[in-house]
Amino acid sequence: MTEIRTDLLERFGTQAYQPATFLDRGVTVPFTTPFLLGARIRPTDTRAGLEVVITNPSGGRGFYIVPWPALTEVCSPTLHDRRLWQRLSDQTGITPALVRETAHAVAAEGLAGRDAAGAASQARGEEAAGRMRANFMLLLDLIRRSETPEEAATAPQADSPANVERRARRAVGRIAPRIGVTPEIIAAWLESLAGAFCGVGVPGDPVQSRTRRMARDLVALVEQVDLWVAQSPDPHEQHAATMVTEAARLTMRCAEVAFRDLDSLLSDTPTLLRAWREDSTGIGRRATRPDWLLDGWQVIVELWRDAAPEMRHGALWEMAFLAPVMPREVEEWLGVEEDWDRPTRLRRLVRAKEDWRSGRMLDLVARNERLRARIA
Amino acid sequence: MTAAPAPGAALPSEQRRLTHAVAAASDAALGRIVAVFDRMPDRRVADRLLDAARPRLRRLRPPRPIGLGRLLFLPLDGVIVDPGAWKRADGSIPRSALAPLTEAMRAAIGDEATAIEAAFAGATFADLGVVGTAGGRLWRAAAAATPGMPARWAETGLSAADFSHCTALAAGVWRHAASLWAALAAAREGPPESLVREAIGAAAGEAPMVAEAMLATLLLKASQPGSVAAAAAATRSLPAGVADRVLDRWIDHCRPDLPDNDPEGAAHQAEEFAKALDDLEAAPAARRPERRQRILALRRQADEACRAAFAATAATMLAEPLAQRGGAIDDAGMGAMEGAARSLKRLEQAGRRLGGGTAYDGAVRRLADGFAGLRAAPGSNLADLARLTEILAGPEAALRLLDCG
Repeated sequence: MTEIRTDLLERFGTQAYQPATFLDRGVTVPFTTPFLLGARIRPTDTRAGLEVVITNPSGGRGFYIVPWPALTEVCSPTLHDRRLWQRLSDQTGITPALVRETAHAVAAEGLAGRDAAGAASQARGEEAAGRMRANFMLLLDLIRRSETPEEAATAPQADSPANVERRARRAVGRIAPRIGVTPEIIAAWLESLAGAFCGVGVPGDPVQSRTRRMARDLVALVEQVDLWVAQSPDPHEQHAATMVTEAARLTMRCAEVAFRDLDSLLSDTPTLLRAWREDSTGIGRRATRPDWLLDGWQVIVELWRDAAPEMRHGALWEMAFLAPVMPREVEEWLGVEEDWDRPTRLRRLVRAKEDWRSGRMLDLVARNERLRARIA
Repeated sequence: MTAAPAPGAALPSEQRRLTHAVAAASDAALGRIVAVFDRMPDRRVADRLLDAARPRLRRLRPPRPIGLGRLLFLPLDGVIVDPGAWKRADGSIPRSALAPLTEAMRAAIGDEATAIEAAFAGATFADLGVVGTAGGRLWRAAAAATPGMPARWAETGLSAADFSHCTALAAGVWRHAASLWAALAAAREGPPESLVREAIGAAAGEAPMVAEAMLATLLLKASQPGSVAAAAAATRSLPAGVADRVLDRWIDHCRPDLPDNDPEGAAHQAEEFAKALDDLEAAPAARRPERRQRILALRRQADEACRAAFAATAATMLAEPLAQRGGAIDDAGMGAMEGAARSLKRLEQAGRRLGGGTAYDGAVRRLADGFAGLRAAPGSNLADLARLTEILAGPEAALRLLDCG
């Protein structure tokens, strides 16, 4: 767990990591091995397997793109990471949701420590509760849109559970023939929609959804880093802060557009059901956009939170090199235009630094497990 | 001459009993005893009771509150000796002289002493910024003061000539204490050669015993004693051979004593020993065969202490609790065990540097086998056992344990 075979690693070095699509960018896996912190996995060019994209731990321009079997020769991944990879390598389509669910299952076994296990169980519970709330919010909207003024004398959210259930059944019964399916199918679609959108959150839900919490944390991170660096006269630290905050601001802008688009879709349940009937796959993909956009930021936010003030200089560099590259596919998704080469140019201005992960490996693993527990 | 015991001391038999009790106290109890002594207005008797525990105190380094006397004599720490062993010709100061000297300096400095005490009130020696600021002010004032011999001096059994010797030595060190402090504050980084040269070189115009005392103080805290002695020898402040003599004294007094109930502290100490010994062996001073032999003997002692601390910690903090509780450990207990395992790993790594490689291979294998043997114990948690195995023996060994489970 202590050494990295740099001679082997160099074979996998590349400057050419400018992903065009989110899938090319890969999905961040919550690895606990210091060398793999913030690493992403993605399908190989031939789609025959998976490879790991790792930021050069010495900073500078490079990345390493390493097939897993070679990775175990380059470094010695933790038990948790080996088990996580074992589970992920069986999967065909890699998405943030799949990685999250698999990571929860592995962490729940306790291989990243008891805190991470507890956090994974709690996150699974919250996900289930979010799905139920999303279903309930969609039903409430359906009730509001299908009732006469007399039937709607009592707002559904203020009614007794038994009455809400009765009114929901009536609303589903009314909407089903208009869409041309049975009430049972409407109920099933609502459950599927709740599953697809629980991470996004349905408008009116008093509990903030997972992705909106992440977006809020990103706003707070930018504010804090701006404040921190305003007091720093060090131009290198300012450069690291710029790399973080510029990438974060672009992500925030894209996430805002994505949330606006989805909120509009979710604000009219009958229309949403019709759209689902026409293209459930397309709607399902749209629902995953915030996850893809915000992927990779959780570890960066937690690195900042975990760093004591005297350690923030080093943390800022680590965050800067892990800042996700935004793929151009986002233009197609959201119509957002940007100087896409700027992050790469910013990275080029950075000289290779001392490996920031060269401290005591066991302490770094313990730190990464602490982050792992908070990221769940 | 040697200093006589101060009057007012306990009866010899009672003092022996108390000294023995203090020396036998656990690390935690010793920390509490020191805290009580630190609050005593007159700690001369207390200081004698602590003498037998001083090697352990140097290791434990409990956070001591800043007091005027301790701050005043901080730059002379390396030459403060037991009164019974004191000789004027050695260029040292007997511990029994510190209280009357402090009293004399307080009177000589006057209001400035009161103002400095107010500036460090409530702080400990862990607050390096306060120590540097208040110390700088105090040492400057002390160097410029002309203390009269206090009435209590007679109680020490020391002569007027001894008083002159002590004040002259102290004043010489205080004149250069600011640069000495700059080096002391960077002791964990060596301290760097430039700081050592600046500190010791500053005393070039003083009597040789001043630079010698400064070097002795520096070596007490230095993480690279060999390099420090070499850098000091290269200045014009020390006559030939003096740096080597101070280094020899440091080697003589070095006790590789590691706690067996504080794995983090033991790991830290072992790492410091390993670093210091590596540095000593690479230093020019180690070229002399006789000194090289003594350094090698020190390495063997450190290696043995490290192995003993590893075995004791592994048994008391991992193997025994796991066996007694059948593996059913609560979250806090497991967190503590994982912390202990990480410290043990550090201890092992330091121990390997000290020379005990193969001994750890066997010890770690036995520990991992012990964890594997607990898989079937009622209430045992396979993931916990795998994690402890991973920390101590690596992920491959942990995978084997999981796969056999």
